[in-house]
Amino acid sequence: MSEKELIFIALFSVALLVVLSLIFLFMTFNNRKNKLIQEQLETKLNNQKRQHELELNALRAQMNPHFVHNSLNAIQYYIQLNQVEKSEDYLSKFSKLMRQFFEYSRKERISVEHEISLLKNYLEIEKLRFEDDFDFQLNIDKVLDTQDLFLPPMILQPIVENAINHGIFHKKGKGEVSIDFVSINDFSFKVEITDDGIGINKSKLMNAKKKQTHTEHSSFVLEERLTLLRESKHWDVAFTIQDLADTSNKTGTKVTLIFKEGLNEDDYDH
Amino acid sequence: MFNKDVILRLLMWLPQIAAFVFAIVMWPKYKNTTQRNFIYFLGFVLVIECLGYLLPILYGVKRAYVYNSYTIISGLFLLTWFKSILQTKRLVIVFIYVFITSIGYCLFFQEFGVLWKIPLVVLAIAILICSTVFFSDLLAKNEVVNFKTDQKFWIVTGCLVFYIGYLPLVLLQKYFGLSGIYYRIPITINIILMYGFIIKSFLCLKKN
Repeated sequence: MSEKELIFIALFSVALLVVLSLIFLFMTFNNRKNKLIQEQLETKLNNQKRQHELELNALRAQMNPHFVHNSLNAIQYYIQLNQVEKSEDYLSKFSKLMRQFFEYSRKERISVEHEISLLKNYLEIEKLRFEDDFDFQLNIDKVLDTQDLFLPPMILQPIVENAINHGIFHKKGKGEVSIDFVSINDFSFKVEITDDGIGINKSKLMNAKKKQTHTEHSSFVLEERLTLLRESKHWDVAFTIQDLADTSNKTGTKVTLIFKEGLNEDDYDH
Repeated sequence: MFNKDVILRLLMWLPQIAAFVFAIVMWPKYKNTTQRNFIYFLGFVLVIECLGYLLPILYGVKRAYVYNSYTIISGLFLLTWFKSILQTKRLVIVFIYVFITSIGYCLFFQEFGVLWKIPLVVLAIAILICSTVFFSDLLAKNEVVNFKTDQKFWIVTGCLVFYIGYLPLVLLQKYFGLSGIYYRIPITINIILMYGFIIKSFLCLKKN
């Protein structure tokens, strides 16, 4: 081989080395990038899927068959008593509540005003079921902007249902649920759901002897939904539950939710 | 009109000048990053190129004086920069010590008027290893998704490409009799590639 050929081979090898190194480098980085993007998309997709499953479960929890059955029975009871006006009134409330359940469950957020309307409807139907053994209070802070403040749907009703079915149902005598909407600032507000029932500690003891109840399931769904909502970064919802007997002479349970809204407002514009 | 030497010099200088111009234009975008000293480094490269060309013509100074000084300063600069961007700092510190030792060796046992090969080879190996460590670190991070807009990625790619081509040239130079145009053409191509990637490192800041 001549000297020129040797030089050519040497230079060609060097050039090949440089080109191959570059190809290898960019292929490695592009593959890793695509893999990471795919993983991130899969995680996001799984989270969305789980979110939808939980929303469906939350809807099922709201559409509790016992609640539907008992409500219709109560309406039937009034029909049998020939109290047509009262039965019509409750039937209309019931149908409105069903419509609200379906309508709001499709939305990503609902106004506080709509949530209050749904809760009022729900509580009035429960009152019909319990008659004089149950009463409720809805206290709304005057400065709270109920039209422009929002919250995720299907969050409060399951908690109120827990208060009634677990707290008040087992209590002897009249029970009361009080719901307070309190403004914190322009972007956040607090909701306190207080019942004077047997309290969460006693209720847990009672349930421990039974198999998993519908209420326990709905609590699990609620907690997981709150976690996913926090992960989605659209909502920051602080959730605390307290047995009133732990801090006072009273019995009952107080659930406090603090909604900090507006973390990612633009995401709702679509 | 132009001889080969002038053409090769122009081809080598143009990307170096362009890199310095981009470094000035994009300065506000990277002045608070670990790459902030590259503006001075690129300016220094241009000064060295001018001195390397003019001093031998005007004062008969040996070109190796200028390029040996360049090797020392650029090597220390690049290794210090790698120390600031790599997580395994000890490795880079070891390379800095080895590089300084190789300079010391040449100072005692070689003439300053001859181009020092040992520090160049040490520097090339050190930079190739540091580049590999940098890429493997980056591949393990989520930031790899945006690697095309990472200024460090392009600078390291430039260094890797230059030294991956330069190391065999220096090592094989003796055996294959690579000299004159056969040595200068591949070196010029390497320099064009390296400064091309450095220019890209400034351009990607625009996208950021």
